[in-house]
Amino acid sequence: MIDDADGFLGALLAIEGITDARAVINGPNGCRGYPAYLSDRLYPREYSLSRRYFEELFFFGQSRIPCTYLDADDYITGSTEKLQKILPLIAEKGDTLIALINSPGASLIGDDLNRFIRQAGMDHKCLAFEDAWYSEPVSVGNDETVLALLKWLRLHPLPKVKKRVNLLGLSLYQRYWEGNAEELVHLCELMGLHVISRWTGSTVAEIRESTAASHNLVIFPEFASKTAVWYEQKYGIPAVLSPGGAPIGFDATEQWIQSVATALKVDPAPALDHIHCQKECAFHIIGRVSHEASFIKGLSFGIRAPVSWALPLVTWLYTYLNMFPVSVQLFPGGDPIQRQQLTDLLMILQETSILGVDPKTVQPDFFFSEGIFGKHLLAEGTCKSYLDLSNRMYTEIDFTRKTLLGGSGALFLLEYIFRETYNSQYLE
Amino acid sequence: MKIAVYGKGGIGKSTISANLSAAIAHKGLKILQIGCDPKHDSTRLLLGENIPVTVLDYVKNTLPGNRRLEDIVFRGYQGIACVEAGGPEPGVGCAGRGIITMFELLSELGLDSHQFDITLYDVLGDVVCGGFAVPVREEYADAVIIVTSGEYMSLYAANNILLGIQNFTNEKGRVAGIIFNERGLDDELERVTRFAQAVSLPILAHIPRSARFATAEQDGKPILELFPDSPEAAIIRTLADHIIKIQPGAASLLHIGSPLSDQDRDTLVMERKPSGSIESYGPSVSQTTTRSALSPSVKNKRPLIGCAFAGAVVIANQISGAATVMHAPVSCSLLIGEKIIGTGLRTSQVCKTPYQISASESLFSTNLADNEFIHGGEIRLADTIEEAISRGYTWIFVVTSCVPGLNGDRTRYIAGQLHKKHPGTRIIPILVDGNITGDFSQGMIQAYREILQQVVPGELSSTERSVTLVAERIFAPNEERHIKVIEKLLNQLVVTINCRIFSQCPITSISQAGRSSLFLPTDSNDFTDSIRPLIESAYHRPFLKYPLPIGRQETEIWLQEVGSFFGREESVKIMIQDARKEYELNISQIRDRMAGKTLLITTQKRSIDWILDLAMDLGMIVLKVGILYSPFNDTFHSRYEDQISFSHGYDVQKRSEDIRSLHPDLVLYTYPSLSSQDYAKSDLIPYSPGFGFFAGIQWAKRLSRIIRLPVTEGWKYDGMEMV
Repeated sequence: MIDDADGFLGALLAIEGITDARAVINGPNGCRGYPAYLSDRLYPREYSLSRRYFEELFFFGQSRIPCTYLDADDYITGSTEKLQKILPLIAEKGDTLIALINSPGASLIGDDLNRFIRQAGMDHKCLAFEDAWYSEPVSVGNDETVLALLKWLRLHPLPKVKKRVNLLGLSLYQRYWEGNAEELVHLCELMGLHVISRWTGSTVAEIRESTAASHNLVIFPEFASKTAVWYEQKYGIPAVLSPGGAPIGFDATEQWIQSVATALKVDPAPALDHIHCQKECAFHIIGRVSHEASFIKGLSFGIRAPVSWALPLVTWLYTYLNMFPVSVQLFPGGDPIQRQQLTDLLMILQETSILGVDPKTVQPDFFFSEGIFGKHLLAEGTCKSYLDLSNRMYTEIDFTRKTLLGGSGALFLLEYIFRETYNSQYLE
Repeated sequence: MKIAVYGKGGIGKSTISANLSAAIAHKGLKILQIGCDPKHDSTRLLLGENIPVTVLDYVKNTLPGNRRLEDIVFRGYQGIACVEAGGPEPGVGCAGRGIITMFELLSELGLDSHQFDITLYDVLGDVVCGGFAVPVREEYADAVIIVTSGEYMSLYAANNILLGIQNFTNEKGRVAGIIFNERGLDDELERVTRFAQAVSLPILAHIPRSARFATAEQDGKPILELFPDSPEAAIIRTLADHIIKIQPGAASLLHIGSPLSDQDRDTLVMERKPSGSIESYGPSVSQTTTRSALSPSVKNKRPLIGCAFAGAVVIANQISGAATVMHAPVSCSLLIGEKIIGTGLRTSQVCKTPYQISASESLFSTNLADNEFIHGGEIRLADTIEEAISRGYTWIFVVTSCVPGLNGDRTRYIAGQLHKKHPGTRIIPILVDGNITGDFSQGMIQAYREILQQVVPGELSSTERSVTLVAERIFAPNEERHIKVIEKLLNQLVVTINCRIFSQCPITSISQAGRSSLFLPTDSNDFTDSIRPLIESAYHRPFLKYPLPIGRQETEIWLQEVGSFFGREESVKIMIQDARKEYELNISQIRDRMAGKTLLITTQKRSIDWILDLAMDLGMIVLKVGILYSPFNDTFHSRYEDQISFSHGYDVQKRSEDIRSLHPDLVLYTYPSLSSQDYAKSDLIPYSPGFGFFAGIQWAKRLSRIIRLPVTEGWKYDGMEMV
């Protein structure tokens, strides 16, 4: 079973990523346990020592994503009573924005969610999603939800301010989302740019200000392509997309910096100098452990990811560490140019056939993917090491701020690859 | 202006809608007519034939990126724009959901009703679910017209429509009135007039029974085209003139409408008198019952924690060698699939056992998406079962989520068809329908019921010196290691574990479990009690009354019972003697620190006698045991009920009060943990403490350390400002 996350989770995490927003599920308790757990773990906001207990209606022991706990009766008669009760109760929590989202089953009932929102006098702060991209890719759920919410907010067109940007395509779903955002903000600051909104980790007020940006920097197009087009059409904010994909690894990060600097007519030098320092740091370390770790050259790897992740990672691991891709599985969507670039690279390797190859058949040394699938491969011995690119594990506990993006992300990836290689069975 | 025309199926609303659109178009207005009835013939009179493609067929067959408005909007009589929602095949899918999808697509593709002077929705009036009520929502229809005859069912539907409108409208007039489409019954006009007066609505038009309508219908043309000078055409034109005058919020032309109660409808309108003489059939109708065992939450209609789908998948997945097909959207399959795989990985890590690859590889999902929500997911289900068969599975469990439960997929039928096609396979539906059946526990119960029905009685003939374990804690990663302790104890009695139902249970063992001469419940709880009759009836073997033992006392009792059953009393005596010495040695190392210490225990309903045994052996003083609500257990029993103070109906507020007033040296708790205001040393009661004489010893050693530690860990002070 390959368990790629779906649009419902994408929608929930898009809402929960906003600092002062809250998702509420109109649906059974069973639908919200996992996303509620994820949201609380990934973006802690509540005081964790006041744990709720099972009897507390709508929350049932979890602090995030309350639900209307639909049961058999509600499927027949609708969930009027529960919807009427939950909305005023949630309103008391003081969130700036609330999104009421139907679970898959609830979407078949046809409750008019907007009516209840109006009745509760909450139409100024609460919007309804009567269906939520069930079984679509997680990125689609994110993009569509962000877009629907932006439209609902009726953003005022603000005067454009030079050197102000928004980051698009970041989600709680992505591994180390907070570190990723901080790394990109830092790179922007080195180029003299100010980030107005990054969506995940931003407040509703910051999102309202997003129309003052001169450009949108689209980090992961799969998560934001519709949103980017809408910003451009509605507010004239052009999107900047790096042809090398997301800033993963040194090369793609430098390319990303260049793309941003060219589009915004700013000096890339400080940011590039920063990356150069990090490259030097990496050089010194790799040079000193290469006698022990030179066997990294020629190690194989597989990846199952959106193309904006896969292109830079495959390119960088191939050119920088001389690792060899043996399995590349791409999620649907993404930028067609990036997709073509990746195909071209694999052509150079005379390995276009690895596109779509099941990793089980080629047994890569390293495997990069989303969710528990890679861990399953690791446990069954199909790969030797696995790095999760998403945030869906129950077991990972991180105290230090990490990132997969930018120069710091490249150093993290190097540390991971070298440690894993050094400590494991690759010498055999 | 947007108008919804509602009426009972077959009452003539499509004919009236089409003719009305035609008459309005003749006045030079731009009209859009949207048929919201799965039979998709609302626009037939305007197009001269059935519409080439309905919206829902289009959605089904066209990729999202390729969808265009011009593919689904057609030009009819007098330039009227025509759209038909369509719907699933009869008997499958969810037509109401289809209506919702159509509105979403029209909006997404940019069909702006403002381009039209009037948009007319022709809606199936048996407002059976929320989907068919979508057109009446405020953001869609500004006004509603109800078509009815004088027939009882038609008036019943008309009244229902008014009830629906009342649900969607806050004291705002939305109903334009009633169109009386005569059927030629006796006193029909009087009856409809009485209804109209009773519900405070005007009759906008009286359309007589006429052969001209039938002729126009047969020719596929509006009556205005075929019989432009007829009296019927004149009535339609007058009606059109009235409709054109209606504007949103036009107080004089729009009415609130007051739906009637069932009794008023029957007495005022139909002039029926209730006899009041209906008698109950009496108890004789319920002599035989097939009622299933129910979980506490289902039995007591409490909020459901978790979902029966997930519970059933977890149990089915324990049968190794069988596939589990999850008939569900990705989010449902993901939720439980990830939990199963995660637990498997953790178990392998904690217990240093090989990872059970089969647990994840045997999971399949139909990944139902919007298309299947509307049209049903039977094809997807059949394809997924076929995929499992192609991978070599001959036993396949099919577990249903709420989506197939609601859209009426014939899961059992599909299973039967595929069984005929592949005679060697056994396809076993577990129709829990998401949480429609109940909570997580209920799903596990249902799965047990279905799986146990596969037991072949013929294989039960021989008995052995073996036992079958029942209902292990599946999500306890250390359970595997603890079972080894039980196995060792049994082996000392020359007894083996034959089968574990259902925990990593090979498909072949389901029937072979009956060879065991004794069944051993793992735990003592409501779930085990629920499945016990199912197991007893499947295997006809005795159940031990005690669960697997935790700690010295329970193990002694349990061993004596098992030893007696297998005729090994002497061996048991020796085992107990040996174990007591070692146990006493262990306990004596801790007792000095713990003796005389006071203890407050707060627990959800579950067996804690092993803790009380331990506390007694350590010389501790149990001040009170507070029993908290549990969504999983209703019952609570203890051997100590006469000796210790038990407080039922306990909660965390009472715990805080007790901590303040009783000053316990130690508080032991199950979820939830102590709040920051609760100043007491504390520890969590382990979910799976282990089995056998020495289970709990390690924990007791930990408690002896906790009692010497500061009350609160330093990090907790750092969050005080968040309180």
